[in-house]
Amino acid sequence: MKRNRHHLLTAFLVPGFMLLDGCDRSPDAGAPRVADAELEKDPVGGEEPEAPAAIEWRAASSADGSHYVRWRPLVEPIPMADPFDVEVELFTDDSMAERFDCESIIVDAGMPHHGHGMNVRPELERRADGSWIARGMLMHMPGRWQVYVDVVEDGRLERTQWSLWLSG
Amino acid sequence: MNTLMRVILLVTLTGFARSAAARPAEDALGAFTSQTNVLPGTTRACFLEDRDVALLLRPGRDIRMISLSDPGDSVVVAEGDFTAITALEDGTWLAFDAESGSIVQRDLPSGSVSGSLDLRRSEPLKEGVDPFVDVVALEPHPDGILVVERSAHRVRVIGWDGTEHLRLGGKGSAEGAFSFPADAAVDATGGICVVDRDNHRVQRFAPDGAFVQSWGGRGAFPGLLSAPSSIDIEGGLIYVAEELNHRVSVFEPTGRFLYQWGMHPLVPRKGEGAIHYPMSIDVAPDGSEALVAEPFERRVQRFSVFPGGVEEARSQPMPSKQSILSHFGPFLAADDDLLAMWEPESGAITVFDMSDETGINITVFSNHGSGWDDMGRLGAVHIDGAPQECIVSDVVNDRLMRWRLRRDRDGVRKYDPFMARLATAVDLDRTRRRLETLEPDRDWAVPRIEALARARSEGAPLLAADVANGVVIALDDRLDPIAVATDCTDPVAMIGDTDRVLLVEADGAILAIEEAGVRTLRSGSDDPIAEPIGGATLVRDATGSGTVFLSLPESDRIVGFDIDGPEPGEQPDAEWGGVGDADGRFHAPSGLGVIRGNRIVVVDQGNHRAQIFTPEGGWLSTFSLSSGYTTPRRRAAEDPETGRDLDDDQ
Repeated sequence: MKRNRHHLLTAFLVPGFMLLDGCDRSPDAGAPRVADAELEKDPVGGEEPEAPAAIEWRAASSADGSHYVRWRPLVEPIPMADPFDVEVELFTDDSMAERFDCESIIVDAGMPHHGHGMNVRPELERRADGSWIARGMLMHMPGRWQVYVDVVEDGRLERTQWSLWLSG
Repeated sequence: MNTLMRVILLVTLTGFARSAAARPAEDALGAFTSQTNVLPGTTRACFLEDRDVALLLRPGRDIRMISLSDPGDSVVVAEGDFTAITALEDGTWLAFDAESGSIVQRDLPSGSVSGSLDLRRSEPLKEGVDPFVDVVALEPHPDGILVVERSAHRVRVIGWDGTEHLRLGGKGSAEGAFSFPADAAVDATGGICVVDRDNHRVQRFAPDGAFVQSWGGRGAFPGLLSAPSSIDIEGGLIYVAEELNHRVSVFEPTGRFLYQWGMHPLVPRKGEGAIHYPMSIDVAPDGSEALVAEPFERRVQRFSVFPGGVEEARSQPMPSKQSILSHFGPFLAADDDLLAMWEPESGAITVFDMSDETGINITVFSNHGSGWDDMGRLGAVHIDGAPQECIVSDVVNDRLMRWRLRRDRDGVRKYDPFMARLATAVDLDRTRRRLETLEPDRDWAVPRIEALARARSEGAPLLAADVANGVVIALDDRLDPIAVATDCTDPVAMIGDTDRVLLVEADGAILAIEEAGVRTLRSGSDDPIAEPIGGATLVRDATGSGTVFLSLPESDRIVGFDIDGPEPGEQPDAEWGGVGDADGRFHAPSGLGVIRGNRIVVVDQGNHRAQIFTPEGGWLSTFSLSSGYTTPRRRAAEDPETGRDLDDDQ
């Protein structure tokens, strides 16, 4: 059996952590803090639905900590079996001082214990301020749902997720 | 020769067309006739002119002729690294010889080469024609030979002169693309049907290669397909064997479903028409008989037509496989108190808590599919016990995924469907691009990772055996490659040791991948175990000495070798098992792992369960998805030779 006997020092000594790439931290994408968040109007889309200030954000760090995500529905409570929209913002860290800029995200939801997701695929729209709107979320049955926000850059996905209970 | 072969083919195809015309439309195959035990590893069976005689392929080993009524009457017609066969009606057969990379045509029964159809040696592939890759099926075609190249995701027609007449496929799920095609057949018009295994469909092409239609889709309902493995077209009907639906589905040329037969035997190793993991189907040219090879059951079954035609075929009771508790895949991942196993039929991973005497199922995650958190077909699973993370290689979707288990180790043990969360996933084309930057002089394919392991030292990178490129690569915490560690040829498993990773190859060789390089601990040459290996693990005792355990699916044994001795042994130091379904016996044991307390877990695949043993082979526990026990099952009567519970026959 012919083998390349590479010297493996590099493989074993490299601690297995590389700097992030793909998603960039926008130098001038400073974002407002939660308390004084103001959504910009969509310059093209006309009337932009805006979440009432009372609707709370759900926030969490991504699985590997490369970014921080918060989202909230534009209506509350989340309707069962009716479409609704959510807004999503990504930051470089939990100080939410700097936007985390990336080309695209995936917003989805599922019920792992039932082995299914939503029956629809929401449409994503990026706003001028760098935040996102996912239109057409639909949770078609009551129970525990998982909400996912995935950042995919250069062939690598990193997920942030939450659980919520939808009453019938 | 070319002209002669064309004449033979023409006659053959005319014969097929005639038989199609002559065959009564209401005939329906599927009535059980007989079953014949064959040697382990037999994946393909073809009728010869005398229907009592079959040609059998054991890939990598031999081609045999066997009497179906008297299996003792068998002749080895060729030995070598053959990977595909087909019998022609002129009394010759075609085989792909992987060692020479050529197609050979031989006479029966002597096996001597009769024709000059050696595309590499006597009639080489024409300049510019790509060499053959992973050939798994051959079929005669009006323009030459239809060649199915599984991991190249393509089907080609190669002329008798070595020219390429037609090329179908390319990896993907779009129309005309394939994902690990397994077999193909030519209809009377020269059209081609391909079983697109990991897209779970049949695709039909016109004689010029234009896509015509596809049907199937993954599922168990009639007309849907799950891992179709073989196809034959006779009498105007299309017969498709499905590995994971354990049946044969019959379609009209339009793709309209007609009927099915087989389905899972409720008692493992029960035949008499019940089919289990079929890998090939051959229908006689007159459509009156079929031969189905089931390597997992080490047998072939012969079927004839129902006197009552399709109506009778449709009225046959189909056993449900719902009573089969667990369909564990061939490998597992274990670390400390965690065990993960893949279930190919559901497409999910099941996780067990192993801190107690038997395995307790604590979560199941993911589904079959192509989304970022779905799984196609897995190549390997690895568990890192401390961070409770599961790394998964998906060879169909070309991904590596990291799932995190949110579990309170000290809390109450319970089933939690929300325990596993996808953290990251990497498209392996990204990995390929990064490998190109690491070693730009190599021509890198998208990796296909079939083993994963990490040394137990702090900060050790995850190592991945990449079959597509024949290398082991080291990955960082983001699952990106940081080094090419060594070459590998045919990896079965990798095992994390204290400061190194052991690479176990299919030929039984065991190599240590260490900081300083690669060392051979055990040579696979002249191996006394002389059969494929299903899985491997390592146990270190209190003194620090290590034993590598290997599972042997064909002889239903576990063997152990002292790996640290001054002269690592070729003869096993430990051995247990034997065929049967009693506790402590196996049917096709495969994946192995070590859990807390130096206990060894064995995937007992054929018995749809897992078992736990001491390193000395003492049975401790048996479990499946829904149950486990630590007191041996009482058996009223047991077959002394096989250990099979005779009560199961009731």
